Amino acid sequence: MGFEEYVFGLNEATLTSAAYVCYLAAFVFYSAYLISLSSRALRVPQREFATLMALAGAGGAAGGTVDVNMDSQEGERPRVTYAPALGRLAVGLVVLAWLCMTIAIGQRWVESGHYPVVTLYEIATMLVWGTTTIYLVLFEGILKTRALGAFVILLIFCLQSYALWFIPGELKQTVQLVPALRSYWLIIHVSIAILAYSAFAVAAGAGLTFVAKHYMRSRLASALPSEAAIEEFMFRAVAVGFPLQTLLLITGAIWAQEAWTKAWSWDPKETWALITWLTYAAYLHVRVQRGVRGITMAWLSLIGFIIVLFTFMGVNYLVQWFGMKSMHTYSIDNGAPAGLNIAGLLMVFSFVALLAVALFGWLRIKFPRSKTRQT
Amino acid sequence: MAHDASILPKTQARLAKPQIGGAPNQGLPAVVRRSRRDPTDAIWSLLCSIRFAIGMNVALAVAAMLGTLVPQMQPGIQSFETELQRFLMDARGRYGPLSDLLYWAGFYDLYNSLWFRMLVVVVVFGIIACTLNRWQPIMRQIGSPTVRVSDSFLAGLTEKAQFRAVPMEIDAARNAVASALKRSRYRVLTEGSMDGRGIHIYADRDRWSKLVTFVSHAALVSLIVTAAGLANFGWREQSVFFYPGKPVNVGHDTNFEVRNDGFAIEYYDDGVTVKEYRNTLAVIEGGREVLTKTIIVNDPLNYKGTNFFLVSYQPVLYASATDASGLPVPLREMGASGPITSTTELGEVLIDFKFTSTDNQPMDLLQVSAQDKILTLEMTYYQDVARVDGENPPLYVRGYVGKEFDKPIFDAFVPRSSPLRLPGYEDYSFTFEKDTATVLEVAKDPGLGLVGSFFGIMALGFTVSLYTTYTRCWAKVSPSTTVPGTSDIIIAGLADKNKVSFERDFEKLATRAYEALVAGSKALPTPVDKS
Ligand code: HEM
Repeated sequence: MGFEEYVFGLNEATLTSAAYVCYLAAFVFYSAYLISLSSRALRVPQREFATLMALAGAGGAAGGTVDVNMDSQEGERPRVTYAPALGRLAVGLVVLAWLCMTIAIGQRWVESGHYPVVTLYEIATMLVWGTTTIYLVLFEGILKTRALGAFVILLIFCLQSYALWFIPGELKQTVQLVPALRSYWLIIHVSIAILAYSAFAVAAGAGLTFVAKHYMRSRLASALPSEAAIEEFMFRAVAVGFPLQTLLLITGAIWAQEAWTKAWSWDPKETWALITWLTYAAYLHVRVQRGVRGITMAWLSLIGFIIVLFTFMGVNYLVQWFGMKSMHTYSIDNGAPAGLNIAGLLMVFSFVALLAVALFGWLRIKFPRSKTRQT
Repeated sequence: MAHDASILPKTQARLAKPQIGGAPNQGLPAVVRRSRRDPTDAIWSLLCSIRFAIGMNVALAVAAMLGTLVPQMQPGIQSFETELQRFLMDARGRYGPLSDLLYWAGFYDLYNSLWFRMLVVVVVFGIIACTLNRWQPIMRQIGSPTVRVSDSFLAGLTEKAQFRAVPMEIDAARNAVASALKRSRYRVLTEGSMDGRGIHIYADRDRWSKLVTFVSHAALVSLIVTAAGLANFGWREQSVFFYPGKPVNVGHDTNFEVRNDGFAIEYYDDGVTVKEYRNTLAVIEGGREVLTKTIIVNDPLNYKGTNFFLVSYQPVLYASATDASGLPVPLREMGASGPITSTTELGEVLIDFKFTSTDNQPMDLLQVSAQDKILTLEMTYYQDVARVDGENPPLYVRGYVGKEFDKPIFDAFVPRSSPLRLPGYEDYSFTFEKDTATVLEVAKDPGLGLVGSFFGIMALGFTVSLYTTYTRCWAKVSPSTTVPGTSDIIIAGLADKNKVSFERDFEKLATRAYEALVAGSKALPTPVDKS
């Protein structure tokens, strides 16, 4: 079951593998795009104000993220560059991967007869899909920035690697829905979860970009948008995720009130969703109230994302190892081998990393004493 | 802090900001502490401090996290001594001597522990204190903004557009700039400058977005307070057994009974995995049946604010026995503390499988006196063993005589279609009839709608705060010092957040101002400079 059915001659396994290859290729082309951008400093001759206005109105050459260097020598003309073509190719590949994932998920939906979000594999797949969606809509579509693609796609690639390689084959099969999950809330609640966590994943991709920009002293860093711009893109992704995370808690409570008799019962899964919410609330307070804009925000978004991963997938392992009870365990009830497999080790690792990064990040949060600190 | 601008010209620009009602993102100047030693003031400023708020937020998250790493006691377990002891034994096996300390510190019931609740209370007070502290400064900032700002303040802002020697009178130029601002949705205020020669313009947009934060945080506080308060008004019965046909009154001053009128179960095509189970309930009030509803896991019955949730189901058997003459023989069911007699008029006894067998199946015990001996029947119910309707239920029976529990005289499933007879006691025949009892959770949770509304307001508030930006612009129009009869104009802007997006937004505004100035003047303003 699961991987044999064919639609248009393509089965789910083929489609997901195709998407996987597309992501890898897209990562390569996004990187090439950055390298190509960095191989020349984009120099625009000093222009008149009106011309500059027109440029700004058009959104700028690479989506308004290119630093227009007005101090450069008069008259130097931009050299021919492959950057735009490479960028378009990369986006094309991401769109292709998105299409493959969409069809694969659709096939699984039809075949299993329910919204395929109940096993760890399905959830991880959905996260890949959602992150791609949010990336395309928010970064490529609304914010018109392409330079963050490499890191976001790298993150997506890692997520899909987890789904494809680290989840044992027998757990990739479809399962039947237990009565408690047979509700339209499954679609509403889990879709919100996927979008919220995907938005946080995109923010983490921006966080990675920020870290790269901040610590790399190479030419490549010059192709990336300014730190302030990256930070703002990161915030925009969190601003998508946070209200969704709030809605996630509401819909979860409503559903729990119906199906589990109690709106809130401190089930590990819902508790971790609350922890995620509080973490990003802390992120927002650090930003909005303290006006912090620097590398701290990147660390916070990475900490946040590790917590997201734990909420989304790690809670299952919690159930296995700590003997915690949860009503939210995807595939554990379906014969998952207990004990430490590679995916498990990965989770332990990320948990340790979480604590380390949390400590590191907390130490790095500089609380400016002066009330007038800016940027 | 040094305020001497002539000594520290660079600091001037930064110091200038609080003068116009607070810097964009930073907390406004807190209420000045009168005395460092006054403890109430100290607590107040701690509660108002942003670092403290963020710290509490993180503390809450970490505490919640701990509760998912340490096993938690079942709610209400404290009233069952044996269960509690079993839990504590497990815990000791897990944590050793540390276990008692954890128990004492409330870690096994973390979310109900005093310290966790105190944490929540402190967060609530933090929000309230912070709000009260910020109310006045924010109202002042958005209510009576400073229109007249210093040149150095304007120079200190990052978003600026300057137009020099625009061939217009200052009033016309002011109108042009104001119209551009209005086109960009700004509210515009103007004032003459101190020296009377120029005009100051102030404009802001979405100032109400500052107030939305108060609404959302107030909703958050109300949500916590209401939820905590309401918890004392509801009640909950965790597992109430509803036997077929028997009305149950759940107490708690409810004046109606609910009867299990039938149970059905549906399997997936594999015939093993449960797809759905349904329980038809009838509500009986004043002797009349007033409502029937078939409930499923995702659709409880609500009657007069009391919810009946389908939690699980359990096989039950009606067992009866007859002797050689066909007369009913009294059966005794085993209770947890020994045999109990619960024979119905027909000689039937209801077996509700109080125990679980070693292979985790529902199990129960039954005793009967036969030929001066006590016979014990140990019955295990195997749900997965297929038996068709009309046949005996899939019941595995071990029969013992007296206390010889190591030598069963019968050790098999009951026959498919004939009554059960034990070897040596063939005069007695046992019949079993299968039925299903449902296990319901019955609860009254008043005021959930109210909590939900607060939650909704909060969510809406957060969304609005995140997607609106309080934006301010200042402009100064003054007669040009170089070309007589023309005006110099500087426009500068400041956004609460999203500074990079505001850059583009400001450029649009500058373009509009430029167009308005061009339209209003005879010739192009020259030269033009944007930084
Ligand atoms: C001690 C507790 C808290 C205090 C003192 C506090 C206070 C504040 C303040 C002063 C702001 C800045 C508003 C502005 O400058 O416009 C803010 C923003 C915000 N707070 Fe809180 N807050 C607290 C707890 C929370 C919690 C628990 C949450 C939700 C989990 C939350 C969610 C938010 C959000 C989403 C914003 C961003 C609004 C914006 O972007 O303007 N807060 N909070």
